[in-house]
Amino acid sequence: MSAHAVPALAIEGVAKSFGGLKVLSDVSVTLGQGECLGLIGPNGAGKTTLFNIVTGFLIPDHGRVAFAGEDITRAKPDVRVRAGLVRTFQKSMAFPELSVRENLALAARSRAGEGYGWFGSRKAVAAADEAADELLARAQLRDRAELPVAGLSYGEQRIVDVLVSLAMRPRVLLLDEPTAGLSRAEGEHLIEVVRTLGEDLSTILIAHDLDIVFGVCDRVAVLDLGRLIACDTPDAIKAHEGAQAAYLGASLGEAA
Amino acid sequence: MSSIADGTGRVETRPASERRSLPMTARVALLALSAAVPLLFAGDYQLRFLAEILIIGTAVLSLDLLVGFGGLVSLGHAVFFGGAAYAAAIAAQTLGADIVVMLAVGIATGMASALLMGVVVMRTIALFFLILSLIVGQIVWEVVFHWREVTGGADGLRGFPVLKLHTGFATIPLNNGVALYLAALVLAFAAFFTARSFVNAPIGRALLGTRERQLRMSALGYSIPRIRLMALLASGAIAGAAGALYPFVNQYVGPNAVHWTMSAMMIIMLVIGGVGSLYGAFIGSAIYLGIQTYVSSYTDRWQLVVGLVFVLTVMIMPKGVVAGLKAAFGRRKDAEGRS
Amino acid sequence: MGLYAVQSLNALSFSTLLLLTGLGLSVVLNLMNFVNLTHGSFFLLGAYVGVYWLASGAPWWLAFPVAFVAAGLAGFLLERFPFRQFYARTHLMQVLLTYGLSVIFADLMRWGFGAQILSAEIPEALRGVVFIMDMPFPIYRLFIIGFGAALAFALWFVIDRTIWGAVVRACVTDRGFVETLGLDTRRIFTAVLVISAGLGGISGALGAGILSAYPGLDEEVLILALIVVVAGGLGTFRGTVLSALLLGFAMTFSKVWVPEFSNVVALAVMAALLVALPEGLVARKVRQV
Repeated sequence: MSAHAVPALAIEGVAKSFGGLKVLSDVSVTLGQGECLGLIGPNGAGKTTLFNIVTGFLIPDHGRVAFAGEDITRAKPDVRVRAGLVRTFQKSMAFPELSVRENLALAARSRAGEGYGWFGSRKAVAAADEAADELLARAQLRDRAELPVAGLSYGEQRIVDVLVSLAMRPRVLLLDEPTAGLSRAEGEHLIEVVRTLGEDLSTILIAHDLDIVFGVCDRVAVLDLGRLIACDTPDAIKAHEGAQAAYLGASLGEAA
Repeated sequence: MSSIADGTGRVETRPASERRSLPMTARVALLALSAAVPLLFAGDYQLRFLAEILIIGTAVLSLDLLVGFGGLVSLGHAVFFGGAAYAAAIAAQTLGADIVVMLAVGIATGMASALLMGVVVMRTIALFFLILSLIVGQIVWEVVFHWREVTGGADGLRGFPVLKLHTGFATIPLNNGVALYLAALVLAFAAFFTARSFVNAPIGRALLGTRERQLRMSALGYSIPRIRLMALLASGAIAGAAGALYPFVNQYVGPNAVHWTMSAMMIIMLVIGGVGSLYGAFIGSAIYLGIQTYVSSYTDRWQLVVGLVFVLTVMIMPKGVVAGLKAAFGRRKDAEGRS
Repeated sequence: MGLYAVQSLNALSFSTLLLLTGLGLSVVLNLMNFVNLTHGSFFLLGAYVGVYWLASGAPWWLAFPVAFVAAGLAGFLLERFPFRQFYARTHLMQVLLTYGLSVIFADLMRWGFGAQILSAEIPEALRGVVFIMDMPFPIYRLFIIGFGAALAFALWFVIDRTIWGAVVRACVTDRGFVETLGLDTRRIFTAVLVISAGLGGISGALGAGILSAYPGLDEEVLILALIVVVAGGLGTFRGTVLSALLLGFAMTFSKVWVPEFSNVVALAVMAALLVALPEGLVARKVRQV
């Protein structure tokens, strides 16, 4: 990653308070092109709030967010998504009553700019739907396509969430605890889906399973009580005392 | 797609072979037959009454788009409908009452009022939307009620020309029961198919998405205000078309047509007939107006009866009377909502 | 100058009625998450009770507690059936149910009390005027302001400052938790609804002196109460007070300045407020994601 390349995402001096509660203080992180950045920290550290700010569901009190060089600090969420900045949520946000295919179609159509069509081009809509189907096939979920999402197992639902995000053809994908509640095998499978099906993608991954984070991410950022304590390669973080103290109260090498 | 959400959001996915309802041609034939029966047996007054049921049913259909598919419960729908009615009656005084012109005026007015409503309610949701649409509706009513020079005030408008059809070589007056009934029938069918095409198009699926999961739709890159505005415009156009024909049923339009109780009445009709089913709009309209006309000839307490039917529907048959009866008699509901 | 003082007091008396009615609605909405559109019916029932009681020659001050009891009783019965079944349902279903019920009650009251406008006989002690800056002002309206403000304050005090209020507020946040403390939340909800209904009834009786009682009053009052509650922001007492003041003053002064289109102006003010502040005057803060 050359020093002159524009970072995929740049977070500079972001701070956010709710009333008297300071949730984030002066957080600065950059995400390089093609990088996978891990974001870890105890519960309540402010990780999801940071995601909310980056994706536009919250406006920061201070600081700025730049996406591929452009300042998006005050842009609306849907504008950011159309620019290629996509996220998943801690809760599954698929439409439970709609089928897997319909969920993906909604995303693919939005991406293709065909989301608002009425009397418009049927071919364009069909093309978008086909792209969604292809994604399903590559994830080996074709046999599940017609089932309502509510009828899938939790692990499959989380994969559908990820597929929906990928159907948006993101350039930056924020994954908010995608593996929570999944077994180790399911979690690894999900990460694998992201890696193989995501094209030209930079990601930020929030996860509590440190083996996955350290195994997959190029760098890891550690957040605690709203402050960025460290941001470095996995090995460096493992040896970082501050990170150990904040997160585990024990050496990272001993973590299960 | 073989799975389409019914208005309440639950989807029934069954392969086509299992559905026990009638094939399409039989249903169309049945419909055409039942539409023709009144022409043979009903008198002028009754045909006008049927026309009114169809016209108001069309307005309720447009409301279903908003309520059943968009989750936007509006108490200002009378503005789209009644506003277009007044516009048509007023325009008829200067432009003559050619049905094509009237429909154009109605649709334009409906869309304009939908645009106004959309701009005002754009950022609100749920209860706020309900009250704000109510407020906007009442503002319009107050204007209509007090602007006597143009709208006739409390007395309403009379004495405008009767409805006509200008063909290339002759002008056909449409001021009799048969003509009005046929015009209303054509309107109802056109409106139904328009609404259905909207619901099945990408915009319709997007609208359904905004009904409960606005956050998710934003996260998918959809602009909620844009989706809602399109739904409002489509709804306003259909309601406006219906409103355009309304004054010509009895050659009268009064401020009641824009009062919030008219909006509430349409909601009642929609709920009785079945939210989200599209065709339920006409069933609800028929039941409500039927009770109003026929029960009131026996007793003053027709509103009590309507209220009871409505409350019972809400409590026992929240998907509407038709769905409730079907369930009671053991047949599975056809989730596609197509007639 | 005197005109403005008198009109302000006029507005204040109207605002007090709006506040009381709005509070009844908002209390049930906030503490039970239940939208109750029969509230207008409680108001009208109270108004009729007030009218009949004041005309009957019985001690006038009893009219208000009696109205409270009458409406409270109606609320009690309704709470057991069918309100209770709808607490867990969506707001839309509650709106539909309670609106349908209000239609039924409106017709029943029209049947029972007739269709004419019935004005209340203002009690001897409250008749006449006082002179504010040389302009006459009805004593009864001062009574409304005083009594109404006291009632509103008492309600606020109970909700915000006593243990009863705390228990009810806890029920909203986590009903199950309150149950583990050994408290019967069903009875709590019943009590809240009865008090709210009673409040509606007493407002009606209070208002009968200036608004009278007639079919359709329930709808008019309901709309105004809804506007007050929603514009206030659904969140707090303070919001309801502010929006009641705003609406009361807007309606009163627009009648003075633009009598023909007074309602248009007043409604436009409230609409503009909701457009500018889509969550009302004092918004609730809720975590979205």
